[in-house]
Amino acid sequence: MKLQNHTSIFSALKAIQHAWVLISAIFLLTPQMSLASDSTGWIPKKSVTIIAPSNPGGGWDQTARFIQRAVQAENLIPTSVEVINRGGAGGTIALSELVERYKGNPHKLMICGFGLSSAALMQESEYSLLSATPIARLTGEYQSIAVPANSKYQTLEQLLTDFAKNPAAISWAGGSAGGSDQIFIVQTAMAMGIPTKHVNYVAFTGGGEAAAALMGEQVTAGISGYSEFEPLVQSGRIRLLGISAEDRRLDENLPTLKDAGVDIVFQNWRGLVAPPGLTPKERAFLIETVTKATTSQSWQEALARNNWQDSFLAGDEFAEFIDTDRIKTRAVLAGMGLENSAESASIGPYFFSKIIGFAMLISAAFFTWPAIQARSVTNIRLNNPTKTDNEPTFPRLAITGLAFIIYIFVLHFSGFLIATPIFIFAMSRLIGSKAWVRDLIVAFCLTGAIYVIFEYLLKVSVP
Amino acid sequence: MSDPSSILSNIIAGFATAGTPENLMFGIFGVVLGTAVGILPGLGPAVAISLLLPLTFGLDPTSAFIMFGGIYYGAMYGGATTAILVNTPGSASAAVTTFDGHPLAKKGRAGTALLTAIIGSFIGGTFATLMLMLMAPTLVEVALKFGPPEYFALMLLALVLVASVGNDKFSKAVFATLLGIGIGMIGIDLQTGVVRFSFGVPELYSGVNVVLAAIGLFAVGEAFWISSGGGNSDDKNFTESGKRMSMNHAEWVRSGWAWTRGTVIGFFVGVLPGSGGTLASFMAYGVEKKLSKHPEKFGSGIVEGVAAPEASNNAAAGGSMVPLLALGIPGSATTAVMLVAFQMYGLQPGPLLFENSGDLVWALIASLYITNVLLVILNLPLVGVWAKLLELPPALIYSAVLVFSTLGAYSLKGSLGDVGIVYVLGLLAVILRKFQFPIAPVLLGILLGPLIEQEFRRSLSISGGDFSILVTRPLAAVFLLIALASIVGSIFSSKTGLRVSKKPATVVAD
Repeated sequence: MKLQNHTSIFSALKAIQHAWVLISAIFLLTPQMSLASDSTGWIPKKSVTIIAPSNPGGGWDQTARFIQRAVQAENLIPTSVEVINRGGAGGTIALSELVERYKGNPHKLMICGFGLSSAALMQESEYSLLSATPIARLTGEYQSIAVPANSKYQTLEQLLTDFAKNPAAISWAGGSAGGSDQIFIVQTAMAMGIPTKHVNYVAFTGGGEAAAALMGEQVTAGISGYSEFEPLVQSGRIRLLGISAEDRRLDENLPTLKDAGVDIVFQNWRGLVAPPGLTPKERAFLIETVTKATTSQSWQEALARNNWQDSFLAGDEFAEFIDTDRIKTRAVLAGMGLENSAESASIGPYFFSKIIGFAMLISAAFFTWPAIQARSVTNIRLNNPTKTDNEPTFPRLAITGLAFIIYIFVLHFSGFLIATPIFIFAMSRLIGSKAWVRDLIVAFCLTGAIYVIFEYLLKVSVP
Repeated sequence: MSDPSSILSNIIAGFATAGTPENLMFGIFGVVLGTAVGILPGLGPAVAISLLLPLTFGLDPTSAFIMFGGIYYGAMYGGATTAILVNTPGSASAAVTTFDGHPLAKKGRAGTALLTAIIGSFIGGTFATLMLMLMAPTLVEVALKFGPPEYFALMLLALVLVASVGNDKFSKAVFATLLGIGIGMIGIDLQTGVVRFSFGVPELYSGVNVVLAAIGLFAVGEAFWISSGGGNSDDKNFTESGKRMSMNHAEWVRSGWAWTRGTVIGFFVGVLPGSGGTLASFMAYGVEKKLSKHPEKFGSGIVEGVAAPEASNNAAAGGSMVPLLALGIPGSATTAVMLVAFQMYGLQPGPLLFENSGDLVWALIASLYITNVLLVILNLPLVGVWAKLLELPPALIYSAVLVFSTLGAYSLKGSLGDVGIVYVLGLLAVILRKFQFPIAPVLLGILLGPLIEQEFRRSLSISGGDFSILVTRPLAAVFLLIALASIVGSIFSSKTGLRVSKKPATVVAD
């Protein structure tokens, strides 16, 4: 009887807790954190944002969220912590935003990693990770090589022997070109003396799609982080052959490349950087906070669960590491000559585009020729059945276009709250409204409402 | 898992877990939020779920996933609302819904269009959940048989089937499709890392994705069309649209077939990783039109033109849960975020998830059924409210559309560059419309072009440059043959004014 009482009290408490989470979920507000120690003399005054330079899902996003959880669980900062995603161009878009827009802003942190460093090199972007303020390296992940369960390859040696004999016959599935998967296999080929242009690397949009191709026996072998392949092994569809680790500490049954006679150790690392131009105190606080977070139980659990290696390295040492790593990667990229690699000889990146361009010309000929002959266009707009539609005119379209260019500029220079009411008002005029007062009121109310919805409810920042 | 009686007992247990009042609250919240982000251009279920992730740390995984399921299905439906009412789809997967949904609204039948969309969403979602429950492992085997050559052939077939969805001049539809493919090629090439057609503008490096394209071509395009003098703002029927929410007997029958076919197509397209709801809705519309006795009426506002894509995109959402749960592979942006959520709870989706956390999986499946019911219950009464939107003056509606589009584009990466892309596409849409080019094939090209190209080049990489890989694999060969027959049919019908090629399309529906 007593026990039952306890359970019901417990479940009531749980219900209250859940209701609270639901309420805060409705407002999308994270509860305020209690104050942490501020031995370094600076503490964040606003909420701290961790930028994941990728779309939601995937390794960088995951790292950002685990760090966020550790910081929250340990109450390391007095304000809230949020994660935002800024995907695109392998992370270089987020990097230039961090460097340009957030310069001197200590409330921003960004996840970075091997792939971002390499993407910046490949795109010859203006900034490298050293343009930002390196805070700490967090994790390292070994690359692993797997084959489909029915593959004839039972050992890493067998696979590598065939790779050495006829490299083009072995297709390797992995993530996008220039990422850690490709760089790793190209490095391996270089160490084995195989010409890099013969490496038959098939790039997929993400690790998931590459894994599907591997499981479906579409490719000879696949490359991915150990943590991504390991769960798939349990399904019995793929077999791990090797790992890019130093030794067999992670998995004693899995041979390293060194065991197979190839002197390669490769770690796909991830870390945190902050914007440039921070004061020493701000930087010290961020380093201290991240250091504390990585020793927390929550973080250590995350590492263990994901089979990530704790490769913590803070501040200046991390900066040095970024520099050496970058020099190494640059050498590999130069060696592989991106445009020649990974492609069968007949197809380059511009083959398809030429076909499309040619086809466009042909199709254009089909509709321009009759028009030229007839000299008058008498087509009825079939796809729009209401023939009462007014047609747009070009002068008005030009005005609309102009209104938008102005809107973007005003947005950029004076922000959403000033630009939008003016814009709404102007557009209402353009669409033909005559109610001046109503439009003015609506312009301001709508702007306010949209601002509140995005900024506070959805927590999506407006320009 | 395959044993029927154990499925029954498991799912009953699942309903017991998922059906607590508290979990229902989370389900309702999920559906409402999902519908909202579905309506707002640019924001989608992936964004909504990732926003909620940090708040769900303290929650029971079951509650969290019930909420996520609600968001996913809700968002798939939500996009239809604005597609029908103001011709501006809230998400790419609702772009097709504008074809017949908006003409229906213009005829004063917005209520009908919303009704068939809601029921379609319900049927699509429910059937997909049923298939997920009964045959996930089998389906996974089929999905894995699809390699780059099969994907290439399927995408090509989809392009051919759907490029002719409008009643436009064939050569103009082809041109618009190719233009879309060309736009889709902008950015970093996945296979080589080479930056193509970006003219040194870093904002273009990540390309013009389908979300931006849908906002630009449809939402901004429509608003631009109106603001530069197009449109028919003084249609009386239009403003009285919401009052009627009925279908006659024949329409129920035609909707019924469209829901069924849309659901089947959507589900299977959803199971294939990487394709998703947008392709599903386009294909459902294309097939529905090919099979119809009166294809010429498509685009003039008929119920099956709304029913098929709306059933299809919800079924695709359910389908994309198959590779997630059975293999641990995310098939869409939304399931990628869900995978992260699973991992944050220390769960690894895959075959072992059913063994290790069976309770959760069955509760999740049960909750998907529940969120589908909630979707109908919550949204049916809202139809009247939404339709009231039409009583607002167009100046306000389209100003709001533009502001939401701006923010939606901005929210994706926080860059005004994307806002610029969206506006340029909006202008492009108006110019194309002015010269009687269809807009939908451009979106389709942007969606499918990159997939077709990448799969083509992957195929050739795998075969070592041998083109025969594209035709020697049976499944790929069948798809290509149907595509070829469809092209021939289209050229033939556009020459003679007839619409045939019924036979090949039947094969697809099977």
